[in-house]
This record gives sequence, C-alpha cells and structure tokens, in this order.
Amino acid sequence: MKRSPQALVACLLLVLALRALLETAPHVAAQDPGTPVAAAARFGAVNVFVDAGTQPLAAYQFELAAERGRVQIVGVEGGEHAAFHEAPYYDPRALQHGRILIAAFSTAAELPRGKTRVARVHLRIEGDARPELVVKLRVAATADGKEVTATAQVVEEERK
Amino acid sequence: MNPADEDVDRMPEPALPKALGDELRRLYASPIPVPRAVDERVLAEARRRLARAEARPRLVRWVGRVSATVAAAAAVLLALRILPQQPQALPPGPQIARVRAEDLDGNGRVDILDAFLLARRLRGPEPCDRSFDVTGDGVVDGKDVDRVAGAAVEVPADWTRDR
Repeated sequence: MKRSPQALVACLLLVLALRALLETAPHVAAQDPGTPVAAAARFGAVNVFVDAGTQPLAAYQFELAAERGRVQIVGVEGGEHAAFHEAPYYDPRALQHGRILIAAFSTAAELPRGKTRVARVHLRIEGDARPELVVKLRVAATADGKEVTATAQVVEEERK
Repeated sequence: MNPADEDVDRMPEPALPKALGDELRRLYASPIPVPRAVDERVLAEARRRLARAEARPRLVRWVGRVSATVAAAAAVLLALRILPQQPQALPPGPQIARVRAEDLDGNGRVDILDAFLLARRLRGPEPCDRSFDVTGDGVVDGKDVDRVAGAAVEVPADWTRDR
C-alpha cells in the first residue's frame, strides 16, 4: 500500500512523543509482599556544644546534618545555660528530615563562657547503623554583636 | 504527493503502434471466445477498483494531517510537563548574598546576627529605624525579631525533599 511520507513522519513523531511521555511518568514500583515496609526505628538524641573560649557567647548559628544513616530530626531543645535554655530558632519544615539550621541569641547579662551545650536534638534513626551527624558553625558572636572565633561539636547522647 | 507527479498522472496513456498492438493481441488472444458484454463487465469492475484506489491517497493524507496534529499536541503537552520539572538553580544555602529586608546589618546574608542586632536595638535607649519593620505592621517589636530569626534558619527547599 502506498503511504504519504508526511503521514509516516507524523506517526513516527506521535510514537516518539508518547514514548517520551510514558518515560517521564512516575514509575510505580511493584512491591514484593515479602519485603518489610520499613526498617525498625529507634529514637536518640545528640547534644551540640559551642565553645567561644574566654569570650561570652551571646549568639550562635549552626547547621546540623546527618552524613550517614537514615536519620530524621524530630525535635529541638534548648541548652544547659539559662541564657540558652529556651528552644532555639529553627525551621519546622526541617523536621522529619536530616538537615537543619539552628540559631539563638541572648541579651541576658549572664552569658556562658567556654564549652557549653547550646542545644539537644532529638532523632529518629532507622536501622542499627550508628548515625553520623556533622555540625558546621556558621556564626558565633559576643554580647556586643561582634563575631568571635568559636568551635562546635556534636556528641551522641548515651542511651539510657 | 509532488505536483510534478500529479501532472504525470493526468497525462494520457501513449498509444501503441498499430503493428505492435496487433502482435500483442495475437500473442495473448484467448483460445476461448469471450462475449463483449463480459469484457465490458470486467472493464467496469476494474475501473471501479481503480477509482477506489485513487481515492485512498486522500484518506492517507487526511490520516497524516490528523496524526501530525495529534503529534504536535502531544509534543506541546510533553514540553509543558517536562519544563516545570527542570531543576531550578537553587541557592547553596541561606547565606547567599541577596537583598532581603531581613538583612539588617547589610552584610549580604541573613543570619542570627541580624535578629540579635534588632533585639539589642529594641533594648537600647534610641528608637529603632522604621526600616527594621520587616513585618510591615507599622511598629518595630519582637515580631520583627522573630521574623528575622525565622528567615535566618529557613532551610532551602531541597533540604526537605525525601531522600
């Protein structure tokens, strides 16, 4: 049968377009009914310390991220010193995920010096692997708002 | 179809030389005599089939046009579906230099020191500049401090995507 070349080209284009459309559609993976839905999860916490040396610590901001393991941040508490006892600022959208920005400041007269726990972060950890969290101090400042050199450390809380 | 081809189709069949025609008729003559009426019926049927065959390219052309239209529509739909999914250039983090109302110290980034600056101003004796009214409610107060601090810890969208 004789076919016009336009019709063949059009049909080819249609097939290609439909194929590309199907490839971009979200795939639904068939789940094996024998596989477990989710790995066993446990809860834990890490403490974050900031050390500004001899300078009084009046403000800090750090990034905390899970570098290894299936970790979700589920809650954030304040620190040990009265100046940072209130829950710090954080974005609630970061909860249930593994990366967060945490910050606080204090205008109190009494400020911590040296190494001080500024926050406790509660985690949900999937599986038995030990999670690895990394803290990056973005900024620390003293009472007059000037930036100071400081270090941050994250320490996993002992399981009780 | 090429217009030149159509012109060729419309040209009359060239006539055979009489001698050749006679020779061919003699060569392929039927040993059984066929009545003229049968011949004409056969010819009529052949012409009917030929007319149907000539009508087919029009149908094929119509199918081609419809297919092309559908293909173009599918391509447009595909483009509309793909284009919004192209990854946007996300900022590497909240500390990218940008002009924001919350950048109170004007150092090009919004961080907790902007909120701390405003909190100290509010506790100080001097009235705060109206440019610190980031909430736009006409007053500079603790709500502005909270707004700036909230902006400082705001996480980029790609941090909250499921892995």
